[in-house]
Order: sequence, then structure tokens, then C-alpha cells
Amino acid sequence: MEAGRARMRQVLVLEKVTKEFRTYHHYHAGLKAFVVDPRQIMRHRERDRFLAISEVSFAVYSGETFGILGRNGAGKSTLLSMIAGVLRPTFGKISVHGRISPLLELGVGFTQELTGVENVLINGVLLGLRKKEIEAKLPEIISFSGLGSFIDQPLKTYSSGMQIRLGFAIAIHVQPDILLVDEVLAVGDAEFQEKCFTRIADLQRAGVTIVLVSHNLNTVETLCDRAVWIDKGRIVTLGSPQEVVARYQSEIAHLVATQKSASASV
Amino acid sequence: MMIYPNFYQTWDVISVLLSKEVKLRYRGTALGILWSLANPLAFTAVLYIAFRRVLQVNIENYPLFILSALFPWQWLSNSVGSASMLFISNSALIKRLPFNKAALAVALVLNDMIHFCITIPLFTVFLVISRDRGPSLNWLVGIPILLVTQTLLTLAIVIVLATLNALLRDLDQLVRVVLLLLFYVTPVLYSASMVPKNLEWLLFANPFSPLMISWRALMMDNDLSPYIVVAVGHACLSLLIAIPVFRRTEWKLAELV
Repeated sequence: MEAGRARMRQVLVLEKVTKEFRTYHHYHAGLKAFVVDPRQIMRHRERDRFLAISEVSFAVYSGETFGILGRNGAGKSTLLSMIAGVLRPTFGKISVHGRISPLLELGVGFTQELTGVENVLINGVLLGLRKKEIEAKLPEIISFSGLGSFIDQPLKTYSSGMQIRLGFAIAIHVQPDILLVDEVLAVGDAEFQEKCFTRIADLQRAGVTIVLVSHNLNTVETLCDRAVWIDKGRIVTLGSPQEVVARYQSEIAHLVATQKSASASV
Repeated sequence: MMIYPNFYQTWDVISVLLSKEVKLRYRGTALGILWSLANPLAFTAVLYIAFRRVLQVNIENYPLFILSALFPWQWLSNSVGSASMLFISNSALIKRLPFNKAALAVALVLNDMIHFCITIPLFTVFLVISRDRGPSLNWLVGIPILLVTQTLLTLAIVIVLATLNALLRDLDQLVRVVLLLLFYVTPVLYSASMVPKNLEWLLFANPFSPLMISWRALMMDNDLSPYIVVAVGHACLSLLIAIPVFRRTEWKLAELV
């Protein structure tokens, strides 16, 4: 299996990617702190670092669905933001071949005062499409969203579910080579979720590479071809989703058990 | 021609952000875009009473005189005034989408430029009524040059302020104070010729003066003032500062805002 994969094209390669955050509170202290005691600030500069991602390497192959699994704060979203090109790694390298559509959050840049159509145009262009491309896809997006005549109403008249539907409809129609999905599948009603899964299956068949961040084990197991488990910014396991999920589950069960016995002994 | 691979896409980003801003500014108001005129007109009325009637400043056509520089000043100060919060108020976009953040600045400056352009016909009407004299061919040359120059200068300042304010939040307050000071140091309420010799350096040290002097010379007297050259110089110089500052900081913005 590994040998077969070696012949496939790598569309996303991470090499020893490390992300360090400085905590910027010294800047937020403002000009005053800087004027009063610049040395104090310089000391903070050296000390307040936080390692969000540490030497993570993996490759994602063309057409594959790759899952990233981990607990809250494990560094999943930081990793995804770096792949999306929003954040830059402190060390290491990320190479991307093809157009990436970052679905880090649905409806980024939605403006409540503007209509659905106006928001589709803005959002689509911000996601990397040309204006004429998104205009051509407008009918398809409107029909997928199922918003009907609401599409010409200002967004502030929408329910939150309707806004999510519109956001997803746009994101999924931008036809990326690589789609990055961050937990967004957990939203919407059952019917709309079903529609999303169908659409993701369509994209998979169409050969779109998907990188999916989730803490829903079921989603990872059913959708992904491979998965990686990240904890405290490091890779714990990388392999088939079944393997990774099994290891993750047993580890979490172990963790919960130790926590229980620890609290019981107190 | 490809200037850089995403040039056309970035232009589309600017255009959607711009049309959003234009649509939003007066949405829901009864008078709409007329509000762009209301502010400087009311201000001019007050200044007319204060300076012409009370202080008895001896300038012919004083309201028109003020407006010829106040309209472009309004553009400048609106853009510069909202610059410092530009990246911070757009943090949702910056944190989640990889796009050229300069597009936000361009959209901001062009939006205020459009609102300035609306004042030109109004000014022309006033000019014809009060002076029996309309625009000349010089306007066709002067207006585009000054529009481009002021766009570039304002853009440079906006980019620097927006970037630095992501690092040092004090800047927003500072900018307000400085803008207020600059308004009185720039010949808007008075003419450049009224400035005493020993203070003339102030006119040149301040990047806004040459622009305002040039606008007034063009709009009031149909003159292409030599100050245009100084204004272009200021614009180029500020871009030379702004571009490297922005290039070095752009990728960090997503962490800062």
C-alpha cells in the first residue's frame, strides 16, 4: 500500500513544521509600558513563547481524504491555519500544489446588512475565486443552500442555520484542488448534514483532496483514507483511520480512568 | 500582463470590499450619499461665521475658499482616521483567509475617494454661481494627477498606521490628536501665502499641505501649482516607507489582530 502511494502525486507536504507563538501582551500593554521600561518588555519577549506545533511532517496525496484528530488545544487548528496560508510556520516548510479552499469557519466576512447574493460574491472572492467565476456558480450555490427567495434578503433576517447553509454552499462550490475543513460538519440540522456528506462524497469521487479536522471519531473513520493524531503539537500516530481512532480511544479511556482514580484517591 | 500571479484576483478582492463599503455607508439612511456633503457644508458655515464675520479674515469668497481644500481634507482625514483600526476590525477575515491584506487598505481609501469625487460637481455649481466662472481644461489634467497622488499618499499612511496599530494599540488615540493638529497646520482655513516666512517650513514638513495647496489652486484659480510636484514627491516617499513595513509585517497580522 505504501509503495502504491509513493507513485501518487503529493499535493501537500509538511516538513518538520514548527509553530511557536509569542504572547504579545507586552505590546498590548502599549506605548506606556514600552517607554517606562523597555528592558522589562525585552525580557518578556524571550520568555513568553508557546510551542503550538512541533516538528510535524506528513504528506497528503492527490485525491485522498486526510483526517486530523486531537483534543481541544492539541494544535489542530493552528496546523490547518498554516496549511491554509493564514499563519506562517516558525520553522519547517509547507508545500502546496493546487488551489486550497480554507473552510476554517463558515461564512467568514458575512455582512449582516447585505443580501445573500451580495454575501456570496464577497465570500467567494475572499475564498480565492475570480468574480466572474463566482457569478457563474451563483444559481448552483443558491439551489444548494435551499434558501429560495430569501437569497435576496439581508442576512440579518436569516436564522443562524440558514447562514451556515449559505456559508457551506459557497465553500463547497469554489472547486478547490484541496479543501480544508475545520469541524464545520458538526453544524446544521440532520437533513443538511446529510446533504453535506453527500456533497463531500461527490468531491471525493471528483478527486478533490480533503483535509479534515474533527474530534468526531465516527466522521474520521467513515470519511478518511488516512488520519493523524496530534497531541500537544506533536504527531502521536499516523496511519489508517481505524488504527488511529482505536489508539486514540484506548488512550483517552486510559486517561479518563487515571483521572478518575486520581480524584478518587484525593 | 501579469504583475504577480494573483493580481487580478486581488483586484477582485478590492472591488468586492469596496462595493461592500460603498453600499454599507449610507444604507438605511433617508438622505444616503448626501450626508457626504452635509458634514463639510455645515462645517464651512460655522467657519464662515467664525472667521469671516467674527474674526474678519480678509479672503474673497471665503466659503468657497474653505471648501476647495476641506473636501479633499475630509477624504484624507476620513481614511487616515479609520486606518488604525482597519486590520483589527477585520480580524475575522485576516485570521481565516489568506488574501492580500493591502486590499483592505486600498478599498478604504478608494471608498473615501469616491465620496470626495461626488463633491466635485457640487463645488463646480457653487463656483459658477458665485464667480461666474467655471472649470477650465486644466481640471482635466490636474484632477486626475491629484486624485492619484492623494490616493497613493493616503494609502501609504493608512497601511503604515494599520500595521503599526496591530502592534501598538495606542496609535489610534495618537492619530486622532495628530490629525486635529495637522488640520490647523495645513492651509485649509487660511491660504499658504498668509503663513509667515519663519514658519513656512511647516508647510513642507507636513505631507498634506502641498496637496491641499494644489487642490485649492486648481479648483479656485484653475492653476496647476508647482506644489503638485512636492505632493507627488511626498506620495512616492511615503510609499517607499510603507511597502517594506507592510511586506515585513503582513504575515504576522493574523497572529496580532
